[in-house]
Amino acid sequence: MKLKAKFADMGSVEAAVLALKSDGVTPEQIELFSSRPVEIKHGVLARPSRLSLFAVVGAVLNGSLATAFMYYTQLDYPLVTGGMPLTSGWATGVITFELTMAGAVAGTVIALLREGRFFRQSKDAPEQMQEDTVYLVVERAESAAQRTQEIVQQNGGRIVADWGARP
Amino acid sequence: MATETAKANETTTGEAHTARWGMAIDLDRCTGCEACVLACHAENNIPLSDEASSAMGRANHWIRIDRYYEGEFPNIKVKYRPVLCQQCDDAPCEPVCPVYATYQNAEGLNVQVYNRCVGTRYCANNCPYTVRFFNWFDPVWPEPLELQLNPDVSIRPGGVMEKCTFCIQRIQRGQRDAKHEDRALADGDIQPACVQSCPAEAMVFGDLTDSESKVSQWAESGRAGQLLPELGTRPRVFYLERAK
Amino acid sequence: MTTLAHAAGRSHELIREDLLRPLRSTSPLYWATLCVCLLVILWAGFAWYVQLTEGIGVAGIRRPVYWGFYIVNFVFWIGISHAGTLISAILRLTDAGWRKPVTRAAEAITVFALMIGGLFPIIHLGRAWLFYWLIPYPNERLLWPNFRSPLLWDMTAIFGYVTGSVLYLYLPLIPDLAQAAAHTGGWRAKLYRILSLGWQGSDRQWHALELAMKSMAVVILAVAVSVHSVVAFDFSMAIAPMWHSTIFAPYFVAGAIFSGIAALILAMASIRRFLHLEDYLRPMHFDNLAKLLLLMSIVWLYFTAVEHLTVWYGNEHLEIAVLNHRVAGPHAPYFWGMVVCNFVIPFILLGIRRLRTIRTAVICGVTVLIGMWLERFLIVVGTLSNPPLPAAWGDYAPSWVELSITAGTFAGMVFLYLVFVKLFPIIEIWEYEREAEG
Repeated sequence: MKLKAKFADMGSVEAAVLALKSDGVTPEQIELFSSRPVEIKHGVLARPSRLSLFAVVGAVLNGSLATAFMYYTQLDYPLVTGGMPLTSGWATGVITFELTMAGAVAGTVIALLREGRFFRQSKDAPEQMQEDTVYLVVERAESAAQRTQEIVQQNGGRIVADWGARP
Repeated sequence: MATETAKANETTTGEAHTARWGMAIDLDRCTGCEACVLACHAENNIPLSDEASSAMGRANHWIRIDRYYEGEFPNIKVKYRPVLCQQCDDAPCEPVCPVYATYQNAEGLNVQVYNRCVGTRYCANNCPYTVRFFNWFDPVWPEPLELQLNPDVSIRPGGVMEKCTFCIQRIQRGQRDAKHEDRALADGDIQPACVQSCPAEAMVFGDLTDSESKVSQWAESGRAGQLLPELGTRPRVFYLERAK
Repeated sequence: MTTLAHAAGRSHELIREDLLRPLRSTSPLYWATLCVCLLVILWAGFAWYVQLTEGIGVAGIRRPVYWGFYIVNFVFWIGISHAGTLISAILRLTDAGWRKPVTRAAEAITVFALMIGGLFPIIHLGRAWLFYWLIPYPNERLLWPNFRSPLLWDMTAIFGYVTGSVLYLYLPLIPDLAQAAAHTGGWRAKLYRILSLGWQGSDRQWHALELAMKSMAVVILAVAVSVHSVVAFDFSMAIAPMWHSTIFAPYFVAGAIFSGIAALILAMASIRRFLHLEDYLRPMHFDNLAKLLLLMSIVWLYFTAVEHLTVWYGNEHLEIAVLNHRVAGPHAPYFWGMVVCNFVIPFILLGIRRLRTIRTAVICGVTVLIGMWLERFLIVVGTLSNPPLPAAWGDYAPSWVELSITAGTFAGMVFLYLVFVKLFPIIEIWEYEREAEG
């Protein structure tokens, strides 16, 4: 079953989440929605993030590819300019750096789209969000429904049957 | 130092040169008559440098006579120096071209490929001798001047950089003729237009890898020096003048 | 209608309404300014057309000054693009809360300045229609571009920076777009909904966005420093006298941040005045920016003094020719004018606390922009006027084509900014609300 509740502020949501967690709910089963940044204490709703990994991998990948490409082109059509060597790390290092950074950006954006689930949108999100409300969705087995309701209401949540989900 | 430059037979990538073209100009013989300038214009289809373009600093003279005046009247000395592309071994103009429109070929010439040039003009800014010229417009030759254009030399469109090529068309013709006639190239067979036209015989042109050539001998003369050698461009044009 | 109440005491609804109001209502002054800008842009477009068809000779560049106004403008606009970097990245990383209302305005300047600056390498080409030959793709010329050339470094760096900046502007805009979609109607709501990528405000999305912005801040900062260093390399990699200086890269980066802050002050003052956001862009913000401008003015003076002292003391004859031309010769009025605009005026008006107001900050913003433009002019044209061989010395004067295109780019900047301000909230609603709470 999916329990939907509204809270008036971030503090009570935090308390509710903590209470739910001690009751055995995993962060995977909880989702919060708000028109303002969701700021609860670090670790309460810990979701593992691989964003920095994506960024680093993107950076290294792009940088290596770019450097390899430049070396290939310089040897493929070798033209002596200014008596300088054909391939030179110093001369092409700038481009390596720039494209490494571009790779980091690409990695970050991909990670953002992936971890924010931009293309796997939740069907439970409220259509119209009010300013001062935080929306909580908990998914649990039917057997735990009563207990979950109690925990949520004890921490200041207002159970709502349906808040008009997004199509 | 002049002899070092003349004798170096390898590029920095270690390939041997098949020939290394160089030029020597005897400043003590040069009278500043500018016959070389005219010959170059005729030979290389250089766009007209009329009054308007000259006033704007856009006159195109692949070889030019720089005049410097020294002293006060009546003890004035005038120094003439024909300045042309020095065909540097370490040319600063080459690495900055984004499209490889200028590079050094196997014979050590600093070639300019007109087709590739997109006109960034970075090469011209980096040349310490200011020997590069730009085609600001498509060239126009009023009648009947278009009849005297040299068919061996292409006409550059507007937006393209150009400079002295050591008359590469004459070098290629000389090498082709020698091959057809099954003989080796002799020193003096190939002469750029400027060298050919100098009435004072102040210029010589030849192969620097040939130690017997006139240009190699002039280059090793005690009077030989180079223009702005301290910049490290390793030019292949030698200027001979009496020490001051 | 704005009250004089401190914005932090307002409800979130009121904040949202204030920041979305410019999207809904437009004044006649706005339309008039837009039309004037458009006319100037069209005239500049005509000038470029003339240049493309008749040849680049219609511009004033000549031997030996092969680079003129176009390259000066190029460096100038890329410099201004550092406004966003400073505010968004540096202040974000140092956690300076006061920067929040200013962030999007700064990033918008960055994106548009980069777009405009990036046009000039194309405009100044002799055969501009072949600019794509610098892009590496398999072609019939059987040729790759020369990656050893600083111009290729330029192209890569600016491309990376534009992409990064657009993303840096767009990503934090997503939550605001979702809000705007909910509170506007018609074609706007549709546009915002599409652009907001279906933002739901889930904690996953907020969390991922925060992490992404932190990561981007670091990367953008690195890219921005490298971009203007690479632009400086266009000069310092050449052996021309007074260009071939190792100080150019940091000099240009500092100068870029300097001119970026000046442009930001002007943009913010305009936003504050014309969008009636006096309660959001408060004197405190201008005071902090003015202090930053003063700091960068002193840093600029330091770099300039060190550069010129080194050249003067070194007495290398090729460089002395350029120095004399600049400091005591035909360019002297521009040089000393630059010092007055960049240092003397900001030092007085912003250094003396009583004189440091929003108005004087704006005045200094204008003088600094003028001064920094002059600095780029002196660097580009001054050196090229005095090449090593004195027989080749020459001077330079711009033609109507260069002046028109220059004017067109300033108009273009204003135009793009006006359009942006109308379509998107210029102050981050979600960040501001968060600041208002805490």
